[in-house]
Amino acid sequence: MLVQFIRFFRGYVDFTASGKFPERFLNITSRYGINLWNAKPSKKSINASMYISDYRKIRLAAKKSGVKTKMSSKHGLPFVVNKYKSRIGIPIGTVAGIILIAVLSNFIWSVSIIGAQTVSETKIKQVLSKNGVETGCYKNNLDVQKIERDTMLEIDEIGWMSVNITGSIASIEIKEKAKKPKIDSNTAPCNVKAKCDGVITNIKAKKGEVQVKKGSGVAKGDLLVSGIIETKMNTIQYVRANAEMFADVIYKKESSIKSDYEYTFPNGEKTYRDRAFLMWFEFPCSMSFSSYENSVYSENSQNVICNDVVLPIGIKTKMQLNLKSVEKKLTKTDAEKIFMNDLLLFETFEKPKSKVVSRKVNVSKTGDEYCCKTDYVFNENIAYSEEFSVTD
Amino acid sequence: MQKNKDKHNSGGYAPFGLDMGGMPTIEMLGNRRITLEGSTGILLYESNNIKINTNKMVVSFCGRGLCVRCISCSCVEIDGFVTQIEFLT
Repeated sequence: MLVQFIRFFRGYVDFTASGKFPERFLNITSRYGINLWNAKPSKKSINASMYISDYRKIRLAAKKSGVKTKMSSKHGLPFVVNKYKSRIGIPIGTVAGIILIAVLSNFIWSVSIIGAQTVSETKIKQVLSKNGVETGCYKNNLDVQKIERDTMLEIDEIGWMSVNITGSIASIEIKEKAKKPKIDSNTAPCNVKAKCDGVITNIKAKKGEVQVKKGSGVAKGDLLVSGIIETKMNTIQYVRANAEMFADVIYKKESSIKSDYEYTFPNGEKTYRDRAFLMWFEFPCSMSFSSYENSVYSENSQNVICNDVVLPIGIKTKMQLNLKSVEKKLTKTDAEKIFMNDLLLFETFEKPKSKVVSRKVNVSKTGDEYCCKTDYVFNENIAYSEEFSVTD
Repeated sequence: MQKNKDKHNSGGYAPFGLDMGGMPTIEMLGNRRITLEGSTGILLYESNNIKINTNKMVVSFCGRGLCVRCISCSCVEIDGFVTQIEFLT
């Protein structure tokens, strides 16, 4: 295999030496130190192969042995190069391509994260980027063990990680830590009190002596579960009371919006701008330069995916939308819809643990604005713990 | 003693330091490949007969599909199906 490789690089020819004494030709060439192989005899001739450099020297040997040599075929790199000598671009392109591949294979082209469940991949990528692993970094300088150590110190949720660099792909394997359950280590005695006025609907007392009954009304700060218990021995025991007290609580909410307002909306005019990108370099691909006075834009990036690997090559498309503003007058129905949406958002995000028992909405117009008064009845846990000193 | 040793080793291709008077060394791989050391030239080169001249004799190889695989100034390697070897003095 190696010999064939060397022969290909040096270039060799198959030739026929015909004459009266082809054996003599073999002897003379061997005496001159010319390497010859695959010598096959035929009638008064020999077919053999030799290096192109040696073939130029055998004229004297052929003359001495009285044979005529004729080249039958040429093989090897020198002939290929000679064939494309006039097309200089091909060998230059080939060499440039090889150099490009050799250079670019020293960089990380894709970073993939495997095993992240609760930790954000963006956060991991940011920390990795800070520690040196990012798309486009020089891979030969990376100290994998140090990167693993630093990343684990920075992101506490990671229990184990491994940075594997295969070719130009860095695949990060992660195992997250199992979360510890919250343990209340505080043992100081406490009472459970009401954090607002309400009517008790459900009692779930785990520890302590319950002071109220289902249906009883309580005011803010009232004692619900006491941390002082009387034992069977008629002594007093101080405990850390723990309970969930669900009560119907009245809640009032007021909001207002102006009846005349400026409404801004996209009027349908849009401009697309494409840019091709390669790592950090970006090249504009479209000629649309029109910009609007008042606009919003969204950007969409499409990367090239090759064999499930996201490459840092692709097209970024920026869509710019023209915004138009109009003066609008609000009707009562529209105002009601807006208020209803606001109330639903309020219930979902500000009172996520409360159950709506009733809701009374009253929309009225006062001057140039609509007012909304809402009377809610929420069913929620009103218990909170308050520690007390035993010496008191 | 040293002189005798030098005398035994000089001029011959035989192994073990024996003075064989420039006899050729023939190494055979079954009857398919033959390496001959001590050649002074090829006298006949045909596909069924190759005659090689050495210092003291002519070695003739008969067979089928014989060909010289490699040749240098004192060594010849023959490939093929060898049926007969003759030593002509």
